[in-house]
Amino acid sequence: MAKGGDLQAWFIEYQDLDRTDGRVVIMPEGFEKLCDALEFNLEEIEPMVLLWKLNGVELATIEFEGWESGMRAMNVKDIKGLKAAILSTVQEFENDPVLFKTFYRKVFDYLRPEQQRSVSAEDAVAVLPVVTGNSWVFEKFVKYLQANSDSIKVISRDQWQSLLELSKALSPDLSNYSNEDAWPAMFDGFVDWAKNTKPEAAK
Amino acid sequence: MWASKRPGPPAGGPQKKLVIKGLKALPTLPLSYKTDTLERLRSAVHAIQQNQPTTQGLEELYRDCEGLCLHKFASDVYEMLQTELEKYTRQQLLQIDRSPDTHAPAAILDQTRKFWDDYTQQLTMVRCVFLYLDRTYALQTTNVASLWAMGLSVVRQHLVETNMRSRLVRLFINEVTSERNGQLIDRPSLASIARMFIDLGLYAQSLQPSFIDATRDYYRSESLRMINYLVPIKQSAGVSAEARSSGPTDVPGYLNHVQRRLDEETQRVAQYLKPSTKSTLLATVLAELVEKHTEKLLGPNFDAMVDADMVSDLTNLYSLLLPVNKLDLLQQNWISYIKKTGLRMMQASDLEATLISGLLAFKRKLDNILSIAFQNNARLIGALREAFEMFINTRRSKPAQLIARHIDQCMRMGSKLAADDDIDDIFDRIIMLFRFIQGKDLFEAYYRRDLAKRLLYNKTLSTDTERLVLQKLKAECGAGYTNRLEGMLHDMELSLELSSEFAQKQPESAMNDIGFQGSVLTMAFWPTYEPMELVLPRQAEEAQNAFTELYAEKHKGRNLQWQHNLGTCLINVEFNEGSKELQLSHLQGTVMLMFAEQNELTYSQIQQSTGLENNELQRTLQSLACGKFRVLTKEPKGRDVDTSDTFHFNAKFKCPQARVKISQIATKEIEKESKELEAHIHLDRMYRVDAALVRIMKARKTLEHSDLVTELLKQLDFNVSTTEIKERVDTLFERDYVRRDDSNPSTYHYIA
Repeated sequence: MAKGGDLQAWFIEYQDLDRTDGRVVIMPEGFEKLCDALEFNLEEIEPMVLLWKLNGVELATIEFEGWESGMRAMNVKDIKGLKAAILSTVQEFENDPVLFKTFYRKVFDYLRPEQQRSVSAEDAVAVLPVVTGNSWVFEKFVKYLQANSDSIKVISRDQWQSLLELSKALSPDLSNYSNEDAWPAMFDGFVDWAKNTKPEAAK
Repeated sequence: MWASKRPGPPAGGPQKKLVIKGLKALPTLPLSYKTDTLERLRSAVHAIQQNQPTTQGLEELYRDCEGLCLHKFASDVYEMLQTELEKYTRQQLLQIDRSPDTHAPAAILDQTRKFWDDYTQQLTMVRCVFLYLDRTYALQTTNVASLWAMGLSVVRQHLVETNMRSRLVRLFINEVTSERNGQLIDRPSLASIARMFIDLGLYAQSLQPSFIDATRDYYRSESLRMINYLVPIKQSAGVSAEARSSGPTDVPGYLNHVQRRLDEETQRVAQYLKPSTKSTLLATVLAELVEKHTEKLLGPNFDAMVDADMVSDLTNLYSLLLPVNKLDLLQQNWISYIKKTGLRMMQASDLEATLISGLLAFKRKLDNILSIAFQNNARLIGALREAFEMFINTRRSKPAQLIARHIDQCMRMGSKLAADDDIDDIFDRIIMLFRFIQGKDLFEAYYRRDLAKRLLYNKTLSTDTERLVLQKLKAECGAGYTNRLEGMLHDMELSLELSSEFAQKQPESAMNDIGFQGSVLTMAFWPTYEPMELVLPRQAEEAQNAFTELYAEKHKGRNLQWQHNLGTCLINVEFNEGSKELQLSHLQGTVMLMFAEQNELTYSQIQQSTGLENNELQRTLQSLACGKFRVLTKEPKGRDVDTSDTFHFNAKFKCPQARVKISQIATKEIEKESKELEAHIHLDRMYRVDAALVRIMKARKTLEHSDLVTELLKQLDFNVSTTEIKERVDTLFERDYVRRDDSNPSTYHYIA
């Protein structure tokens, strides 16, 4: 069991010591350094999971309280343990959709600027592929956002969350979608667009 | 001598005793009494049957019968009678039956009739003679029928056993068929036969069923013949019904034919059948002629009849379909016709001009048919309503706009309404159409805009008529609906009073050049108008300010904002041709007055002086210099106004009228206005949807998506698409009013 002191010392390795506002945090640079030490690629899902497990408050920002409780919850005391814990969580996502759902929903909050309720479409386009890897619905949706970047500027929380449900429910030939269902209005447009650009998917 | 009253033996002789002894031997009947008497009676019966006088008197014969009965020979008498009747009947009827069919079939019936008449007469007489037998033996012995009944059963037996019954029925029916084919027959004869069958108890079991069967066959083939050769209805409905019934006929002709047949059959029953046959008979006729072919009678033929207003034929149709329970089918056709025709009208290319008057005429026609031909059948009335609601609302906002416009046209001076037209009725009919449109809020917005124009430019024909229409709208939609409209009328009234008060209060000198009338509009009631900057001519401005002061005195705390785009003015202008009175908007007037001082002005000069924005100024100058009445000229020439143009006063302006109205508003302005109006209403509606959604969720706490949609549509009086609903729900998510259920994403929870 890691002693409180050890965790604190460990934390200090990455802490942003130039801060003037008195907050005890690991900021982007420290976070990068940590990811390096863990051999995590910033373009992949692991950093995000790391952030989540350590109860990050914003993108790449971790406070000590979160750090401490996260480490204890994972029962981790060193780099190796931390890396193993994160990797195993990623593995777990395959078998535990509820776990993934919780994680996925939290990602929305990380992307969201603090004062706003929605995530910019740009950010969604950048992050969704990272977080959802090989799901065809998300791929298509990202393309949709890109194709309509001048009309769709934001993604709301409901749309983000419902997207996960859609990826589980939508059939590959798009035949089981109805405008009369309770899906967010934007999805009606998305499915229509997808139907019209189907030949692409056949490739 | 006086001692004993008792008669005694005569004096002087011995008393004699009177002894009475019984007969030594009973008197016996003469041996031949029975046979003789029977024989006598038998001859008498023969004589009756041959219509000849009897050798004995009837009294004697009666006694003979009585005697035989008293001597217990009643059954012999009865048997004898029965035998004689049977013999006679057999003989007579066999003879009749002998002649073959082809040889005057009617004759057989006639002979039978004669037989029957005679027989019944004879039987009556026989019964009189043998009355004692009837009253004692027949009456008191079970299994022995009365003489009359016995006489009838004799005939009945014979007819049944010899099959003459079937023959008679057949011949009877042949006669009926001939009559149906138009030939004259001996009706009284048939009536007798029918009565015979009735009396014999054979009517219900033999005659009627065969008659009905024959009727069915007859009309079945007739209807097939006629129905297969039905021709379409020609619109020239002047051809008489009679001419149509020979040869191929159309549906109205067929209907008339059916009515004729029904009348004929009714008569037939009255003339020679039992009255109880009537209902089965008519039902059979209707079943064959009408019920089996209802589809052919409706369909395109129905449409054509309604189109051509063939009310009497439609009355026929209705009265024939009613007893065979085919009104459902009629209703279907009715609805489909109305929907088809209505939809066509809604898609017409010259919609704007013709729709409302067309719809009013259409409704009037249908109402007429309903009341005269369809006897105000409640379901058909409801069906009409349903159909109208359906097709009128296929064009989302047009009906509201056009009905408002139609009313506007009726209300203006110079409208087509004649003084003695029934105004009440006319507007009632328009309100009936109004009732069908969804989204009455849009109508109110259009109506308000049109009413405002009428009131402000003094175009309204009569304030009473305005109030009348508002009352009807209020009756239809409730007091809240006409709130703003009534407010507008009231404003005008108050303004009139205020203006006259103002006119009185002004010192003469200030007002000698200019008359001023102000209207104060309560902002909440009237349509929203864009405020506009305008620098008025000095005198106008002074008057305006004086009015504002007066108003402020009366109503402290209220602010007046002058709407220059709404104001009009009359200006006298001297042209070469003479003096003309120009009716202009404030903008136009302000510009024109500048030319009172100078003949030539540039665009920028005008702009600087009036303070108008480019948009407005260009429009104004265009109306004065490039339109129908050019009181200014523009350099360079052209339809559009540029900021670099120069304008001259056109002294050469000519016009036959002394007063000229120069309109400011171009058509595309009006269209733009309409679009704005609809956009505004749309926004309004979305807010109402939001409010309704929140209300529903608050009440139900948790609800399935589809249930929410259903509830919502019930509460709204306008149509809204599922996409629009979802968009509004999205905003509710954003505002944290509702959330989705975690496990079932199509369920919503209210967030308290």
